Amino acid sequence: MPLLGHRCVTHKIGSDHPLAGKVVYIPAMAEGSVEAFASVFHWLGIEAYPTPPSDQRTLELGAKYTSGDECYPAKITVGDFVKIVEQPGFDPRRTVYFMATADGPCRFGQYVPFVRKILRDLGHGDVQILSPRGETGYSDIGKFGTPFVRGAWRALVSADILRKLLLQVRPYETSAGAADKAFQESLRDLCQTLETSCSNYDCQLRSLVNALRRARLRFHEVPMAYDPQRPLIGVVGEIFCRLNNFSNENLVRRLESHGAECWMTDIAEWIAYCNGEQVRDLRLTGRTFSLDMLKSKLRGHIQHADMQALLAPFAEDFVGYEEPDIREVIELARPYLPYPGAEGEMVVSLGKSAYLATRGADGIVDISPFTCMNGIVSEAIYPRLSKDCGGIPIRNFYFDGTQSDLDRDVGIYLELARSYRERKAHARRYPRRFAPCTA
Amino acid sequence: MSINIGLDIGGVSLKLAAIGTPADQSLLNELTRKSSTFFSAQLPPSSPLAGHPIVLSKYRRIQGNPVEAAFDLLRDFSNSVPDQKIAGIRATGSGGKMVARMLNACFENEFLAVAKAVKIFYPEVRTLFEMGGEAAKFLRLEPSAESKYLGIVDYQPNGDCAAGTGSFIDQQASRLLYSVEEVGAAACAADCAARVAGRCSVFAKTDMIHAQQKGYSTEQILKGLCEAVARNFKSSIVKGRLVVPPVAFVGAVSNNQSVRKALQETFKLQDSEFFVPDLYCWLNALGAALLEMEEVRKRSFSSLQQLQEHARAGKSFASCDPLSLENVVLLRDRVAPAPPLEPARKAEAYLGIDVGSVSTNLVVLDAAGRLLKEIYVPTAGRPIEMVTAGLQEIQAELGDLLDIRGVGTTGSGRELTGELVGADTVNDEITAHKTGAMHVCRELGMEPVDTIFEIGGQDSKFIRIDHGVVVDFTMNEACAAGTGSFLEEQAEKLGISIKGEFARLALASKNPVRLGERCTVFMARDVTGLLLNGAQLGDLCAGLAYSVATNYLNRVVRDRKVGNVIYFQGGTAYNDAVAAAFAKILGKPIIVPPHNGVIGAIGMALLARERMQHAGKPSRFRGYDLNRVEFTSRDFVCRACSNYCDMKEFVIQGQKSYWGDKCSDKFRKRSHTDRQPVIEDLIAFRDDQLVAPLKAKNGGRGTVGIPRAMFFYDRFPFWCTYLQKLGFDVVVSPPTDGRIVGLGDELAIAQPCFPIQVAHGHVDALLQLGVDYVLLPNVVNSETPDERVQSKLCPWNQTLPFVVRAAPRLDGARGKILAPTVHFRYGSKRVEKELHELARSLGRSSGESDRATAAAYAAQESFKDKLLQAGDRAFHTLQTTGEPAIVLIGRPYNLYDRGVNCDIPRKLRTLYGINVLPFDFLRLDVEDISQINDNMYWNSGRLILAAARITQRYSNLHWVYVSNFKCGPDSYIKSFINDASQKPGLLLQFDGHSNDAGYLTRCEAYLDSKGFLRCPSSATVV
Repeated sequence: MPLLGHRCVTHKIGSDHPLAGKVVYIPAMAEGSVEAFASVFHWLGIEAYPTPPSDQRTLELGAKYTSGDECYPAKITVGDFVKIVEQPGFDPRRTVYFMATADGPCRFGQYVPFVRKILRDLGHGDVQILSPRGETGYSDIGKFGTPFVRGAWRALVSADILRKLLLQVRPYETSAGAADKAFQESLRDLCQTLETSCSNYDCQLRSLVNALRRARLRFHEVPMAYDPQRPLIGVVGEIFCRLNNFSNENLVRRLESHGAECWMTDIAEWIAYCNGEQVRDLRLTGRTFSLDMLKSKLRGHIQHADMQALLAPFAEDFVGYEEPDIREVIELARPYLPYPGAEGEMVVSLGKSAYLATRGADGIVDISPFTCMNGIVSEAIYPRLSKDCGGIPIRNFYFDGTQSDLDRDVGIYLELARSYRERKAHARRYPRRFAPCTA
Repeated sequence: MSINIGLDIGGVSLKLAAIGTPADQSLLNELTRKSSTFFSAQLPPSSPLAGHPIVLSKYRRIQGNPVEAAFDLLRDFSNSVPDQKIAGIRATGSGGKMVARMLNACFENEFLAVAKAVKIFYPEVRTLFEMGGEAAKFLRLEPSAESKYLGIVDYQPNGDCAAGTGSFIDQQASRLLYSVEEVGAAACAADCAARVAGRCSVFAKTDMIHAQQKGYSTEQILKGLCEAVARNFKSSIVKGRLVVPPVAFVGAVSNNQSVRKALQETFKLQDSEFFVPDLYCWLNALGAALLEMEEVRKRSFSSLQQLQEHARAGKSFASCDPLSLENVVLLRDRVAPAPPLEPARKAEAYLGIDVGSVSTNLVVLDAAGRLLKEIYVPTAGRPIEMVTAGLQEIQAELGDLLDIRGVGTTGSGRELTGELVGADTVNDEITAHKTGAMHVCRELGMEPVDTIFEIGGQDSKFIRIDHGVVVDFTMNEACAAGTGSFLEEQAEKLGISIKGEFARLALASKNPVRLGERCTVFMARDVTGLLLNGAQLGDLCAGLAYSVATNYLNRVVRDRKVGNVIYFQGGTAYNDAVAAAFAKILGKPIIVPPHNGVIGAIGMALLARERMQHAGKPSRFRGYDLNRVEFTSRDFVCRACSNYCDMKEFVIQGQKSYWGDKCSDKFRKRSHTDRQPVIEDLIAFRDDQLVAPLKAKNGGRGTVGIPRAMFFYDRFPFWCTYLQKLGFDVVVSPPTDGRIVGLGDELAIAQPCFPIQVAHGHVDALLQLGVDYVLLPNVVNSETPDERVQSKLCPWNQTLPFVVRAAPRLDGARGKILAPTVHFRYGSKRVEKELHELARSLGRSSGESDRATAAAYAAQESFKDKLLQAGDRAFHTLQTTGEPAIVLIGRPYNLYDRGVNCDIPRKLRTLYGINVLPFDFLRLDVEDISQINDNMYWNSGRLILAAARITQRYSNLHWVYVSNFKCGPDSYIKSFINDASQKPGLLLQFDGHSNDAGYLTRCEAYLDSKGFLRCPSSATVV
């Protein structure tokens, strides 16, 4: 359904663009999100791929170029990047690594200088690292910065929605693999839609909403038997480890196979939090009334509107599954990690845990890399939060690529969740098609 | 179809429990009569299962083959009990999954199994401590008879750490020639305990070794070990969790009365609140049987035959290239035998002794440096006895033919041995190994060695030599992955001899198992897992050889340049499989020199020769018979400070020497050099300046405690002045000592870095002092000249008040914690505003707060200026004299907390006469580090890299970087420090590990390689 009197055009970068002729590799943090993100580059005419799937070689190379004390996601990212260096025909001048970054206080922001140093030591200092920082950081994408940021947000939100559908349906499917199939088909559809979408923002949004509608239908067709007895487990923690199935050894699937349904904290929440941090820093430095503040607010507003539009087809499906506004998350964290003195992912983990508890979750799982500073702070505070939330079981799962008996831990953890379920104070709300019969 | 069986297959042992109906009584009686493996359990009449006969199997080790062990046990069982009588089998434990699959039986989660058994047999139990062979657990239970759930409210497995388990005690006990069963009784007999840090098994092990060398009796060490295991169980498994009595202690370790006692003391439990149930070892098996009994949908298990077939069938695992010796040069056979000695006159000879953690080596060289005798024996925790026996052996064989003109000692027991035998020179191991290796290549006319891989028992070293000078070296930092004792333990576990057999099996393997790079503790578990899953012994040996090599290359050598003439030496080089693994991984030839196990001792004999040829005085050697050396030892506790170190005083021929002190303040060891510092003691100067603003109590508006931790070490003048100006008395917690470390360990819930744990202890100490408030500011960032890059503190620093506030034990004191949020980066106006709220909560006005803030800023500025001025003076002296100096780099709470850093920074000056220039005495704000790291958003990181960058410009400035285990920021910053300094320095990572010996070795080798310790004579040794 095209806009009235509108002709679709897709603007691509020209041959004079700094990224023309280059190949961008994106760390495969979250399945679905990374493919959709790559599609945004394609949409702008830039060649981009997720890094090849992580494997044993990733870990070997990661170990070789790290001291072992860095965080686990850094090890994986380094391993995956060096794997590309080892590929036959590797051309440093054509290769671009995409790597998000931050200004601390956690270690994540060091990945870029660290990767840069490793490449330098390997003699590939000329490999470009595309690392957007704040509002100025998209200069590498030149005049396509604004469409890139907007398209990327839409891509990530859409992929978040697909993941949410998958996690909502998969535990109850009666035909094994049907939900995953619906996810893969919907992801392909989404990526194609993105790549070929119009440069007009409104037109692009419409086509994405349509792609998500199609995804909704696919998931509705998955044969399933809803079981209200399944405990609902909220998943919080470090963004990479939490979303990267290689790092977390498929913890979500394991939880599902032991009888749980999972509610995964998505990527959009983290982006919203980072935007909020920027606003806070502007405020703290006395720039409450500044152009930067205005820009920041405007971007927040636009992103919120885009998200609402993309979520619109799911009003019915996501009853009881609503994602909180980031301000609510920060507010819920305040008794434990108050604003503005506490910053970083731990605030989101704490606040989101409290939110999930009030939504009737039966347990919270925090997935973090081993020695993660955020994870350890959260772990120290969870017992207090749990006490305040009626004893909801909260569990940290740390990962560093070593084998451990995860299934045992999951088995026992779910025993706790089931037993909490019998006495929890917060009832869940359900979408109509799942609602347990009250008669 | 009435008997249900539970099988508990752990990493070490196997247990069976069978529950029948009353009708099965006679059948099961028959079983216990016929087989000595099984016995009947007596249940109290009140038990809900009264009348049901229960049969248990005696403790049986699985010896690395769980399937076969399970098969044997079940066969014994079915010899008396026909299959059709068995209703179901349920397996649990780490090896249970595989056996369950083969039997087509159910697998049960062991937590659920044990909780089930407790619910049925001991329903009054509220907390369960379990320590088994490889697993340790904590469980808190609130079972209710009505609920179908087991009532688990909290639980914790030992997770990624193996300390606190039976295997760990087992391993350590066998190092001391004790069997695990004897440990409890032996430890109970000891009057005192050696201090063993318990957080990580590797560190605990190192502590034990050092305790051995400090002369503790084996029993005292075992007692220390049992206490460590208990403490570790508390700090890493139970953490801050609620322990509700009654507590049941179960699992194989509960049989150890010393651990039992230590646990009871650690958790302060009364006799009535703590017990070891009769069924302590069989609860998991019983629980599995009980759950199987309740199972509605029974599975028909397959016949035992199938299990046996599976046990025999091979499996495939990820593998690496087979090992080969084609690129390994073994020089063992290329040495000529020593020339015969003339009985007529005594030959000039030199003695070298290397007392290491795992082996003790002695060599005798003649005047030409030819080897006359070598001895390589395990230290076995008895260094004095081993050296005594070694000397006796030399005397018996060669005594009449030799004239010992000089003696040198090295190794971690070098000082004690040196005193005992009368050494002429005592050196660090790196210098010893270098000297020995260079001698070997000269003797054999080979290309000069440029790289040494030295892998000993606990230490591994990497040395790079350029024209006879150590240009780079490193040792394993607080990590024993890639050392010999790791392989030894694994071999023991696999039931094979590390000597010969291991290498033979490994080299014969066609498919070495890919084990990857792992921490020692994880590896031990992986190997168990693979073994449980049927991996072949040879393939595992080869995989382990690869792992040790990979661990060594990745964790010790890291990104350092490896040369082309590589000598692989140390005790581990006897293992040809490891040499083959190095050759395979590096694609370079690996040379194993002759006498590879005693190269360090050879080096010491040569260094002794060198020293004595220049000294022109007789050797201090006391003779072969150490029994004739009059030595007495006496234990006492040094109470010079609250560390209360366990001391040993040795009086050797009237000469006193002391061992065991953490600080060497009171019993100062002799300086190792004649060097005198040319600059003042800046650390002492700083210590004084830091607390200068602190005034005596004057009974003001109340007392505010400031923990002597974290922010204290850099911003005390600010906070102290601010609070005093507001009219409060400031109280600082006492210096970090064992008590405070212990308090912190207990209070911290998760496992943050060591300094944060220590900070928890300081807060607790202050609260115990009865202060009205404790200041724990939420400092977000710091002042910086760089407006582009952030200047944050790390998340643990930032959130310290919030984390402390969440500690359950401090619930009542939450209101006492003052946690103002401050952003120093945004300037004094911002800070002024931010402190208003704090002042208000203390009943002071904003105006008063502003005046106090101004004074606080002035005090902090004055402190900073004094440091910089003193730094300028020192710097000027150094540049005019050209004297070398060490720039001390690191976070202030690591650099200046003597309880955290074993006082090493100060010892550099007091022991070695080094000019020590701490980094905050340098003008760091003018250094630009953006070329090294353009987004160093931690202020500490900026300062650290700036200091390193300054050393780049001055050839007489070297650096020592003091860090702590688990420091998040440092894990990245350390990667950039070489780029900043362009010269190798020394990184020391502290972790609450109480012995300074290992750190001093690193320091000495570093100082020696930088020429600080080189005396004119020994410089020519090469």
